[in-house]
This record gives sequence, C-alpha cells and structure tokens, in this order.
Amino acid sequence: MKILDVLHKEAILPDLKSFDKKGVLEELVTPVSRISGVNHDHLVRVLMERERLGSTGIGEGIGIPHGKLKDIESLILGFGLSRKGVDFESMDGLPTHIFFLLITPENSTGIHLKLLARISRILKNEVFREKLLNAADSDEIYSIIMEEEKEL
Amino acid sequence: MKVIIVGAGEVGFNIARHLALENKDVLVIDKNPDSLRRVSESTDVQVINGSGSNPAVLEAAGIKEAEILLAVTDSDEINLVSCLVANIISPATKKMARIRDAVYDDYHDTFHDHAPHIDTIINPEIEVVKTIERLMSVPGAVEVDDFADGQVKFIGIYLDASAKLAGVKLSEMSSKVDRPVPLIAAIIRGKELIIPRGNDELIPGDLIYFISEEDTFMDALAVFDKQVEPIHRILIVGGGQVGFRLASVLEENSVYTKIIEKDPNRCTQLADQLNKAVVLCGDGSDQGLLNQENIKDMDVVITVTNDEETNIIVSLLAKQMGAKKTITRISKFSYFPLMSTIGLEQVVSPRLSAVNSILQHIRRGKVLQAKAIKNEQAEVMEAVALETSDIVGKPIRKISLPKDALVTGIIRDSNVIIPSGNSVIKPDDRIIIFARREAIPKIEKILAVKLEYF
Repeated sequence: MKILDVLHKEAILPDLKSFDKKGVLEELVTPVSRISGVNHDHLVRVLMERERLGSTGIGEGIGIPHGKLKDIESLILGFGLSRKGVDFESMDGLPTHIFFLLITPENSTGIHLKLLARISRILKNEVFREKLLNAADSDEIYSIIMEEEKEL
Repeated sequence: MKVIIVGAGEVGFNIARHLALENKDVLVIDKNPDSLRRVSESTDVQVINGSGSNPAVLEAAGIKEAEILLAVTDSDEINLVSCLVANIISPATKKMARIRDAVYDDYHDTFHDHAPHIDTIINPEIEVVKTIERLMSVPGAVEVDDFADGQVKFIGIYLDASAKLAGVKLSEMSSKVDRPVPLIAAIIRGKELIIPRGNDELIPGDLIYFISEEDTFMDALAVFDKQVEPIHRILIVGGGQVGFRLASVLEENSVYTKIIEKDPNRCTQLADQLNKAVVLCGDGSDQGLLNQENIKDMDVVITVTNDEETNIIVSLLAKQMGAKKTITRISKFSYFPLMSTIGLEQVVSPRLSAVNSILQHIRRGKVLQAKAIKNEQAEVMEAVALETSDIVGKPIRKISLPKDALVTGIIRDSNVIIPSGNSVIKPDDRIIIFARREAIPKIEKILAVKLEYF
C-alpha cells in the first residue's frame, strides 16, 4: 500500500501551530476526524493513551503518532508540519517537525505495520525530510511525497 | 507534560510540589493570593490568581494543551464545575477531581460516564481510611501497600533492638531465622534511603521495607519478631469525615468502636448514622474522659481530628495512659521524621494519599499503581510488561535497570514470582518495581513500547 493511497490532501496540515503533544494531536486529528467521521475527542484520547505507553517521537524531527480504533473500516492517514518544532517527548530529546498520523481498524491484519514501515523508511531519506520541511503548502507536500514514493 | 491544578490548598500544593520535582509543566490556579504565594515561593511552578471554574481563567491557563486537570479545592462544587467547564473547552484533557462529601458517593460512576467525564475521583479522606485499615491488617507495620489486587504486600516495619535480625548482614539473614526471609527492597535509616546489598547490616531503628505475598506475610513479620496482637477495641478521636468513615467500616467488621467528637451537633449526626459504634461527646484531649473510657484497655487509639497538633498530643497521651497502639493523622510533612522520635510510629497523611492517587496517571508505560513511600524518596510501581518494551524477553540481570531500582515481583497467571537475576519477564506479566525517585525516568523508558506497538 502506498502512502498516497490513504492520505487525503485535506488531511495535510502545512503549518501546525501548537508547541506540545496534546495541542499537535488536536490539530492533526481535526481534518482526519472530519474525513472519517470519527469523534475528534475520542481520537485524541486514543492517541494520548498510546503516547503514554511510549512516545512515537522517534527522533530526527519525526513523529508518527498512531492508534487502533474499533469502528472504522479502513486506514486513516494524516500529515502535519511544524515549522518551529514541537516538544513531542522524542527519543533524542529534540523538537519534532514532521508528523504522520496513522489510525488503523482494530482487526487490521498487518497492513498498518507495512504502512508504518514504509513511512519510517522514506523518512530515513534526509533529502526527502529537507524537502518536506521547506514545502510551502499542502499541494507541494503532496507532490514531494508522490515523487518519493515513485522512487521506492 | 502539562498539568493544571485548581486549588492551592494542602493537597494541591503538595501535588504541585511533587510534580515540579519531576520537571512536569505545572500551573496552579487559586482565588487566594496567599495560598498561591506559598506555592510560587517554594516550588518552580506557574500560578494564576482566579477561579478554576471560570472558563476564561481555564483558557488563559492553557487548558487545551493540558494533559491533565486536577481540581482539588476544598469545595466539591467548585471542583465539579471546573471539570465541567474543562470538559466543554477541552474534552480530551484528563480530569481528576477531589470529591469528599459522602452525598456524592453513589454518583462517582455517573460523573465518569457522563459529563463532566471525570476520569478519576480523588478522595484523600477515603484513602486515609483505607490506609488505616491496611495498617491495622498488618500488625506492627508502619506502612502497608497492596499490589496485584492484594496478592502482594509492600510492608514497612521498624526493626526492634531485641529482634533476632538486629545487627545481622543481609547475606546472613537466612541462617539466623528458621523460615524464608522476605525480599528487602529498602531501608530508611535516619533520613537516608538505602537499597541494601548482601553486605549491608540491619540496625535497630531501621525502617525496613520488604515485599511479601498475601498468604505469607505473617511469617515475614515473624522473621522480624513482630508480635501479632488481635484487635478488639478501638477508640477514634475526631468525628469528621475520616472518623465517621472509619467507624462505619469498623462497626461493619464487628470491632468494638468508640468515637469521641467535640461538637455536640456533629455527635447527634454521628449517633444517627452509626449503628453499633458508641459516640461520646467530649474533648479527646481530656485525660479524665480518656480514663473514664478505659483507654488502657484499647488495642488501638486512632486520632483523626482536623487539627494535627491535637492528634499528636492525644496519641502521646493515649500511649502514656496505656493504649497498646496509636495511629495518628498528620498533614505537615515536616512532622514525619519527628514522629518516630517521639514514639508515634504509625502515622497517616491525607497529603501522601493525594499524591499517591495521582502518581499512576503521570507515569509513562502501562502503570497500574504507583505509591510513594513515606519520605517520597522512592516509589513502588505496578505495571504491565508490554510487548516490544525493553523489560520483556531477557533475564532481569541483562535489562539495563538503573542501580537504584529493583524488580521485586512478577505476577503471571495470578501466580506471584519473587524474581532472581535469571527470571525472564514475559509480555503481559504484571511487575512490581521499587525505585528511588531519581531512577524513575529510566524505569519509564524501560517500560516504554517501541514505535511498532499499536
């Protein structure tokens, strides 16, 4: 599965405003909740609970918050960029700038892990990260991801 | 992690202080500038002067960014409204409220399931009553905490000079007593917390913390020569929330209970609400009254008035007049070290109970319980070992545990295992960890799951 198979352009936020974990999750969830019809606050709570078990801020400015939900049919993906960086309790202690939000149905049979692996893999590419950070808007972010996925 | 605390009273102040020590982002709201001054002078937290039930104040405090709201003013109503307002402005913020009045006892679940959606109700008074019950269940203990649904007890006792183990090294303990020796997690000697090794000696006066299974704790107590004395007669001094709740529990357990209360109106109320307990209207610090009520025949005298100095005096008096045991309620933490010096070993504090009721919620990892021991220098945690975390799948000696931390118990399929270095923790085991405060961030890292955990 490709990232753009599940990432709606409306779920891309090019300029996150918050500086902390809960604030950023609230922002990231807003479009995703609108698209999928899942209750916003419920989603934030699920993600916060998952963060409590261990931060998804994996370092190098990357955060991949994720969680499982009962009542959805397919994977939901969101994306956000923070220009100033967020305190996401990341493993290297540095601010987090690039966010992929991943929500998966509870009975998912492993596609979510493949997608997670794919996301982590393309984010290993420093040039790609650099391009994302300099993207001006959702359209540009969308095409940067599209370019990168072609390479894979 | 951002935490907003509404109410800078004793409970709010102490939680703020504890969280600030852990470098959490804490903000305290209170109407009273004097209470706030005490907070900002002694801790490194932000304060806002205003009412925590005021939406504008909560917004200004940044409720939307807050992970946790703690409403712990003295007023149940303000706490409820604060949560209600927070629930409207920021529904995903976890809400905890102190609700004391027994009239709300039957509504705790409703407050959770419906607006204001309070995640946890904190009631320091109920916690104190439970603490007193636990203390009475383990003779001679000065601290008792239950883990794994009561299957495991964490017990603190003072070592008497006459005990067989006085002056004995840990490594030699088993040769001195004819029964299994429990795992000693820590010793408090004076102000110092020691995590003992085989070469450390037990010294009379040590406060020893050990871990024991529920069904063998009597044996463990015998190892330290603590005598088991049955409890038949109890005198409670102070008929407030704590005294009343305690008397209700005791009379249910058919313990002969007397309760002394000063205020005649309150006495009438108590007499109405209690069935078997005897309500005495009078001054608990009056020697004549104590004498008349045969204080020397009492197995335990429990002093729980709202005035801690009164409690201390009455407990001392009771001891001197022949009561076998006393349990004293105090609030000021600075009194703790003093208490054992003046001979009052069994002490309870709503403040510590309050701190303990919140700790679990601020810990990372799937932490089911976290209890700070008396001087707050260390903590006992019960957690679920999760798949992908560093704690599972290898022998304990290979886990990079900080040196001031110990895995003291593993619960697997309701069996308790007291682990050795070779024990391997499996996913979904429940584990009990003892750690010095400084070691806790490292423990949280070891408990944390990896990215691929969903």
